Amino acid sequence: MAAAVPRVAGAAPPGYTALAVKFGERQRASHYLLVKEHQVREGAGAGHPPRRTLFVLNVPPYCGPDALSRLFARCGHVQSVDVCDKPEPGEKKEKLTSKYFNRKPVTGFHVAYVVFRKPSGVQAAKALSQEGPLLISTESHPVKTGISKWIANYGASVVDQEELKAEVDAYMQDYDEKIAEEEAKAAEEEGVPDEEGWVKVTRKGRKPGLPRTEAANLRVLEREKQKRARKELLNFYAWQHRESKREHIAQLRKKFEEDKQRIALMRAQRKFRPY
Amino acid sequence: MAGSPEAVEEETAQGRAARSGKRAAPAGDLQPAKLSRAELYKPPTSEELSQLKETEDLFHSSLLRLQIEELLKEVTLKETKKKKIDAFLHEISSLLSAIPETPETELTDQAWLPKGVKVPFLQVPFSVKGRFRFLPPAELKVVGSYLLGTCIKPEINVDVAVTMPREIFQDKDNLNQRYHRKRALYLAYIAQHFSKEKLFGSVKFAFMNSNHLKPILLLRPQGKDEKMVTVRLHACPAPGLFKPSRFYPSKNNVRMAWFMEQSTPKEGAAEPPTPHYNNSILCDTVLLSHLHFLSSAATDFPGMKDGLALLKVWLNQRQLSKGLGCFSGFLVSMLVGYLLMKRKIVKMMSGYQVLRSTLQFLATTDLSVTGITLAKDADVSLPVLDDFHQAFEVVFVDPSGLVNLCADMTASKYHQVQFEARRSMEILDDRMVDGFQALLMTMKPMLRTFDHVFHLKHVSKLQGACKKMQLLNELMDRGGNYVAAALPFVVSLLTRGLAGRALLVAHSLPQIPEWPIDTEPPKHKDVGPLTFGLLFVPEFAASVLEKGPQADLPEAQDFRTFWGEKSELRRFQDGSICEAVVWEADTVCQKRLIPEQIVRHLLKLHTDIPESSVCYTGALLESVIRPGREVSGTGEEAMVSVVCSYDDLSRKLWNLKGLPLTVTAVQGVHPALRYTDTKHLLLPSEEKPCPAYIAPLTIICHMEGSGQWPQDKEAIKRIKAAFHLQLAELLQEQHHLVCRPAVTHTDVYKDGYVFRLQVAYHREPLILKEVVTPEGMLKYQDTEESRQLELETLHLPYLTSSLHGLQQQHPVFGSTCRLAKRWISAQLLSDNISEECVDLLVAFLFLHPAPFTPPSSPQVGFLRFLNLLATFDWKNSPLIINLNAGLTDADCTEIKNKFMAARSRLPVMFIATPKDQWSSMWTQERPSAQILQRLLVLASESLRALEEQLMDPLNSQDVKMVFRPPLDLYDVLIHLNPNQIPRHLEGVDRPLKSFTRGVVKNSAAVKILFPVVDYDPVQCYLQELRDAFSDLALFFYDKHGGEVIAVLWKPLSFQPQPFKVSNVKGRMVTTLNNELVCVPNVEAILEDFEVLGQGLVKSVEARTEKWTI
Repeated sequence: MAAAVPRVAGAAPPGYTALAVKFGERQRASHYLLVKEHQVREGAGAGHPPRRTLFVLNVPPYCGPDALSRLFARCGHVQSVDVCDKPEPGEKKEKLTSKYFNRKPVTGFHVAYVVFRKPSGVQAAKALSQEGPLLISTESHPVKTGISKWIANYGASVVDQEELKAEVDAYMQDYDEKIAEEEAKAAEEEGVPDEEGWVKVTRKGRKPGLPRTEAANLRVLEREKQKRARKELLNFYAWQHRESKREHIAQLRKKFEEDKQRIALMRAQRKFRPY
Repeated sequence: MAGSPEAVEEETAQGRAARSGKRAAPAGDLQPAKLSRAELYKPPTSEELSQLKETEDLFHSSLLRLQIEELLKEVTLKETKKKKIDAFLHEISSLLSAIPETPETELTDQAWLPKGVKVPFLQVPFSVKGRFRFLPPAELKVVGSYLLGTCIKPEINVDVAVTMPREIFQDKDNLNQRYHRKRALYLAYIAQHFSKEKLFGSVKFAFMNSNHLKPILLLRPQGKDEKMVTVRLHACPAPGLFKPSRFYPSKNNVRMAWFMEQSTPKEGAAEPPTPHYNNSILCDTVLLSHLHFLSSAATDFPGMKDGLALLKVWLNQRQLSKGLGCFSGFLVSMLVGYLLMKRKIVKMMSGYQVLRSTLQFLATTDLSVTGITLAKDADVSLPVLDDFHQAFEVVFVDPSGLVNLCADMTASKYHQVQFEARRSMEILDDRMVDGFQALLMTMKPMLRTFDHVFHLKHVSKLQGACKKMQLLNELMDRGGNYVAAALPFVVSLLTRGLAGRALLVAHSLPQIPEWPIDTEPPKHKDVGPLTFGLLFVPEFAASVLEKGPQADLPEAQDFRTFWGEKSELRRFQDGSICEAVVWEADTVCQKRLIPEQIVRHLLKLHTDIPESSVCYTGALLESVIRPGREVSGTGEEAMVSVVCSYDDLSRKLWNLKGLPLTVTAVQGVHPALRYTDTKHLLLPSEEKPCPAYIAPLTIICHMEGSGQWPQDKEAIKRIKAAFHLQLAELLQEQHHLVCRPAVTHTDVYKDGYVFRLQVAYHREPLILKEVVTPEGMLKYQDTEESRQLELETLHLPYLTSSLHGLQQQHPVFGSTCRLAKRWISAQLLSDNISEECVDLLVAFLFLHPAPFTPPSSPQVGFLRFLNLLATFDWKNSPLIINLNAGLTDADCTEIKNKFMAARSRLPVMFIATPKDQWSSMWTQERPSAQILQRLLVLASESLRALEEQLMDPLNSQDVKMVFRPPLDLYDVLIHLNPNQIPRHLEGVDRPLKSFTRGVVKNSAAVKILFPVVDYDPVQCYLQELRDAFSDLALFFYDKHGGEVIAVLWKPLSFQPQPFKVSNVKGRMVTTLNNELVCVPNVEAILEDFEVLGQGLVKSVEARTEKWTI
């Protein structure tokens, strides 16, 4: 918002290279992808191997994995492209297998990890900054946006009942088996002391113990408190009497004080002008 | 603590200032009061004890006491001002005695009067006998509230009685307005002299309480004090000038022949009594004695002064204290004097108790039936109360036993006062309501008070009404004022016609503004439009039938003449044959307008007032919630049919055979199922432009708990999906309903609506909350997911059923809600405030209407909604909505206290309901502080504009104006292609030409494929925009067919920021002053708007250059 300062398009912070991208031929202004070689601390996994992985920042929303892999194909063979909302330090979580459950598409501006087959691909990609803006949607490979995309999405949202059913059944079968296994194991262990002699008490079995939940703990404490309160005598000694009277006046004073404060605030806001 | 209250207050105020000084916040937040232990527990002084006790005895609570004290400080006159006023009065008195006398002339010869002044009197007929000369006043006395110390701001009036010397008058001056004209000439001469004096800022005439027989002279001091005080000169006759017996209510003092300008009186015709005329003269003779009466009442009675000030504020807020026939401050003072005389008030009472007792008396006494008198000893010669009742509608006789203080008041006005008093007593007795706020601080303009309001555009039409109703005698009595003469009759006509439907038929008081002395006095027609207000009995207001007496009874004839041609004989189911009137109305919205039909019909029939001069503003706003092009209906019928269809579906679900678990509950959550949905229900066909939008109506279907349910969240999801599949299958099999299952729901197509069934398992939120601590203890912690699920399956169904119940009690709740939502949406803010929140705000209007009554028309409800938004103090108080009366008094106090303690952590808009006392779940994320601020500004602006329009019947009314948003403050406008807006037809200004959306009427015969459901490209687009640019800009859209998306850049994110990996979204890196910074890549973003909305976006218009960096 300051006066126009001559701008250097495509400047990049240290370590990064800026690549201009445009959606298509018709657009005039371009976004800048910031790319650098992916660096990982040791031990990080094989998903994004060092030296071969290009880390891409500021990927526009309409530029999905397919488009990215096409953009970088000219630098060398692209092995895989991962997109995520923000840079993830660790290993990527296990691949989502289900077609219907837990699908969260990446939206908005995001980051990507492009894994080349050879390290030279990374260097070649950095060199792209010298060329003109890259095009995301070309005539041979148009990217769907707007109405056509939403219609396609709507179409995709209609599920195949049989397939869904089969998937659910398969999952539940696995799940049931897993539960059955656990139960069998628990039944085996019941009443059997471990090496230090402790016996594990569960909800199941003949003598269910107190459930180990926070609510149960609180309940016990509350009950204790009530028991103690029942034993106490009220207004028995003279000092108790005195005390309660004093307390009453203190309450009145406190209320008065609070009211006064409220009034002072209202007065400050001119709440007492009737019209 | 032991000091006087003022000292303590000052002390705390200073303390506060010191404390808040550190934070330098402009308006301090409310902090819980903190007293040190020592302060709290020190021994009380006797003074303090008595004060605390007094507070408990004389006032409701200490807060009320303090509030009243503050209010009194605000409205009473300050001592310093009094001194100035006294000096001013002194100068007036010396000036008055210096005015020279004039020679005697005929009354009609007014040539002696200097040029610069016009007689402040409508001299019709002009010719009158009698002679006049000016003589300096015999006496000058201050009377009225100034001496009693009960005059209050904003209008400080000092009444001065100027006694005209006896020599001015002749015999028979009581006749034919001779006295009145002399009085007017007397004032005119004084006015002319005063107008030359430098002492006065302005010298003007006015009519006392707009009674045109009683001009008064208004004098205001020069300079900056001009606004401070108005001295009103009343001319009055010398004592003993007139014989009182001449002015008994049954006597005549205006001769018919003179009034009709006939030369000879008609033989044999008895002259009719002229009670109002008589009363107007008598009033002048008793000014001083009233002053004595009141000052004797006020001695040793400090509470009276406070009480009167409160009562006057109360009357002012209800617009009852100004105009012809008002319940003036003077009247209420006399009433307090009466109650003191009757020992209903004692001199020990505090101001608050005076207010209470007076309201109690007003609430329970109908002065239009049983009048009261202040006259003590029964003088047999004086007229009795019955004489007064015959002559006047409302009777309250003064100490002299001659003057009716309520002479000009209509019975309807008194009933309104009575109604208000009754309502106020209810409020005072209700501990849940802040009585102070409701009674004394809330203005009750007619538009917001009455369910329907209509205007009589041209009062001159009442002239014809007088003729039609043969009111010549009344006209003569009122000195030709046809408005005053006809009004009581018109009101009683309407009251009779609307009996049973209307609780109250009220009218505005005719008011004539003051005028400069060199212009002619205003005519009767200058009172402007007359406004009438109707307050309905919700059960009967919309009934189509007016059942009369049986045909063979004598009353039948009366009924027939009253209703005219509309009355016809009808046979009823019980076999009786009765006279009846049936009004034509098909839809609910038309039925609500039956009172309009009645009003128009009766006015036309009995008073010759044409329909064109009645401007009825009952349902002007409802056009914006009408579906489709047809003129009738506001979609309420559609809502009912949805609910029927839903009931049927839920029955089918209950009885579904073959499910592994039974259905335990079926609960609707969609707004349509609580009658508050703004969208109209349409059906699409497969046509080219975007299909009409069909919103699925969500229903939660609870399944029974069982050991079979898995205890793992992923597995529960699968099982639910399986249920959805099976529900679809079974519904298709057993009831032939077209269904489309999905993972999270099943869509069922039924009767033209699409219901979205969601299976719920009551333990699922709990399972989502489970966390195991390192010690192995199971803890429950709210997570985003569990909160969302609880909201959907637990709280929303509960809210829906509560509001559904509210709709059953208050039939216009739904329509009001829809108007409110439509307005918010039209202002492009619907995405920034949850629908449930709006529903609750409207519910508040119905559950806590004080000081009003629950709305019985959507329009008044909407106006009050705007007012609530605009005036509620969201920062310092919680909005407590007592749904199903689930909160006690103690709960409310607790909520208020906790709210204050935790203010900074709570949402800006805090709404508490019985099931949600602490979290305000519907306002937690939305609206933000900025949006709320904007909403408040828009609401108060809209309210102002709307009320102005509705109260001005003479101009063309375009109420849709407040539904058109101002677009000038937005940075970018994205224009959309109407082709692709599915809800284009719902726009406020319905497009002239739109694309056929394939709207199929609900015909079951047509075989339809499953319709396109929940497909709104604009919403998809908005979602993508917000995903991509939410940290750079805000997007606003009217979801009801808006053609434009307004974009507002966030100024903060446009400041250059240092490079951060997580913060480059849509920005570009550039060098500024040799530093690398990130700035938004605006050109590219603007093009992205187009790219993302390909096919939907027509053009992107960047309107400001704010973004250039």
